[in-house]
Amino acid sequence: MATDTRFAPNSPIVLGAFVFLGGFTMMAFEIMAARLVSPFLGSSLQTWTAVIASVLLGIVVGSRLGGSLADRFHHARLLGVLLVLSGLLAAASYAVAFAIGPMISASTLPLPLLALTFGVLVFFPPAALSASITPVAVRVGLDSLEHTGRVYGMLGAWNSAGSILGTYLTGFVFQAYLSTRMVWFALAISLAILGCLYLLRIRRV
Amino acid sequence: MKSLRLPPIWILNGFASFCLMLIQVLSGRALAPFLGTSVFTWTSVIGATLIGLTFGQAAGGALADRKSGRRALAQTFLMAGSAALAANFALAFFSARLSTYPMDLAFRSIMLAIVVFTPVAFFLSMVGPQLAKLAVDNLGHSGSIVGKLSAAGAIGSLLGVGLGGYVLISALGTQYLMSAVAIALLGLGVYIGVGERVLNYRIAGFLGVVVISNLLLPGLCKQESNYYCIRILAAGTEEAPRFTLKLDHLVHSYVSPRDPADLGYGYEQVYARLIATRYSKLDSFHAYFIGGGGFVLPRYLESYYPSATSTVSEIDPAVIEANHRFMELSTSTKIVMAPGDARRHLMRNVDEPYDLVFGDAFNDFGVPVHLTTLEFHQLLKSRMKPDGMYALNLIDDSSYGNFLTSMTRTLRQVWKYVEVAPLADTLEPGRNTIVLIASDEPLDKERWLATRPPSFDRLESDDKVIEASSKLLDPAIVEEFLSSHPNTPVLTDDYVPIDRYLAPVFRDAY
Repeated sequence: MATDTRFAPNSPIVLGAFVFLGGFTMMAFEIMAARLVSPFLGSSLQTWTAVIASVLLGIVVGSRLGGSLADRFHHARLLGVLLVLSGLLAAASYAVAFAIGPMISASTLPLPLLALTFGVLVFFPPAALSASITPVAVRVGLDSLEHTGRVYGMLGAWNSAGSILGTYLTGFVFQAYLSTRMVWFALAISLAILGCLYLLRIRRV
Repeated sequence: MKSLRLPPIWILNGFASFCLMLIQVLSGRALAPFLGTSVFTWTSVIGATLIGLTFGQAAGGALADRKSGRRALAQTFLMAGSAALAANFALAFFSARLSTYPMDLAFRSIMLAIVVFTPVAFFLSMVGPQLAKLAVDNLGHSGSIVGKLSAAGAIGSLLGVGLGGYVLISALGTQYLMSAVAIALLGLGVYIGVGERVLNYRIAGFLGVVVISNLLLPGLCKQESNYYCIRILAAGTEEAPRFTLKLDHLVHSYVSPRDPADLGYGYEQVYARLIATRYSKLDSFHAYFIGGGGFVLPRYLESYYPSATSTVSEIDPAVIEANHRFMELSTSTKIVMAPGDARRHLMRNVDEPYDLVFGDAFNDFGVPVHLTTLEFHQLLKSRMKPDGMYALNLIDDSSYGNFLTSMTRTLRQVWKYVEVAPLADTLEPGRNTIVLIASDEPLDKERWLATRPPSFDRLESDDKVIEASSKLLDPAIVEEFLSSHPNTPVLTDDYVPIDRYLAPVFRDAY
């Protein structure tokens, strides 16, 4: 198996799959996020913007964090650890939503502030970790400067393709046929399991 | 000519992302007047953007390894700007003809979104990989450089969503905003391309003409708010004006400010009948309206039930404003305005308990799911008098009937009695408005049939509307209809499959 380089830990297929999954879960969580907020804060421009803003904020911080970690640590192992952590954090954030929701809902502070607080506490952490996957994957995939453009472009493309599928599947299938809680935990657990498998795989190589 | 200093790479990437998200927010709003704001619209827009993003990044990466540098970058920005200009024209051209194409609705909206918005997204997302190539000169730092670029991109996106959603669309309108984005992109392309022989006078002149004609495209909306394209059509006479309020694609209400008994819609006559069944003209009671629109019923109550109080939750402050400015709603009205989300209002404000609640927030098949659930109705009931009644209208086609049955089941979990008023003898196939009336006290059927609300006085006594507003489904028929849809669930915050239920109804309507 070690001789098959197509599925080596730094092969385009494996890295592409990870950034695809990162994009997929990020969009799935973002779309379902609206349904986690509305029981506590209603549904309005302020809540939608807060959800999008906290996810994007997660991408800002996650991208920077992933990038600087990638230059410092063993890249492949870091990738596995980040996958596991993003799954665990996503699962935790669901519980956090229901723990802090009633408190935030009862507060008399202005709605944009409350919505942003909710978003930052609940959606920011998993988004940040999912976003840190891409720069680490680019770093793992880069073997020469000549291909910077192609590696960055290809992995970016896979990440976007994952986002597309995540958006459509969540909107048209997951939310249409399944309960939010079930989908949320299923995605979180798959991220964590996949990370574990990857970590086991690179130990063997 | 000598080249000008290149702006920092991360600023360029941030700006490209800013424009991309701005265009995504904007395109949802731009399609809404033609396609409504159903799940089709938003998924089409997100999908179209992401398709552009996927191919754009791959193409940008391949291009960057072959011929990177300022020239290619300048051309990319120029192409993106041109695509944004083209999008404005394409939108004006295709959207007007949209309803005449014999195509499936989902396909139609996806095609429109792809034709109009994918090219812009494609060129904008070619920028990132080119910048990465320009910036990475050392493998050891490639991680942090890529990370910094992505972060700058996300900050740009953040500003795009925030400024776009909160400020720019309502300030400039979708069309001018798109033109502004185009001009900024073209300007940036020209700046980067100075000294790189990207433009000649002929191309520059052509682009100039296109920009100017772009700014001259006719506008569509009276006002673009953060939620809707608000259109108001005036009819009637100087003394008796009648306004038609359109929110996006939907004719929301017909408003006759000086003749409030002129209720435009049949379901409003059902509401009038319900009010008259419970109360006479001098009774005092508290009515709560979920969804304001043209404020047709609150105006009616104010005129004919002077001791009653109305509280109205309207999500869009601009709609309230439009009523005051264009549709003769006095600023000294007794109607209590609660701008914002209804569920939030109910959670936070403990008003005098409501005697009657009217639900009219289900806009153009874009149903706010959080106002349909068991949890919402439990909250609503806790804010009502014990004998309070909740009436809501919904749109469904009884040949599908999934929304109707799941809504009825949900209401039945909370209230003892749920009446179904189909505005006809029976549930007729086809897309229809249906009123549900929920309460813990049975409806007084004799008074229901006998009453004559003031809104009937201006109709002929044999008007079909009067007859239609009295129809209630026989309980046996309701049971039968429910049991023929055994699988539609009680709606909860955790599971609301309404988009799936309404998709075929929406599709048939186009």
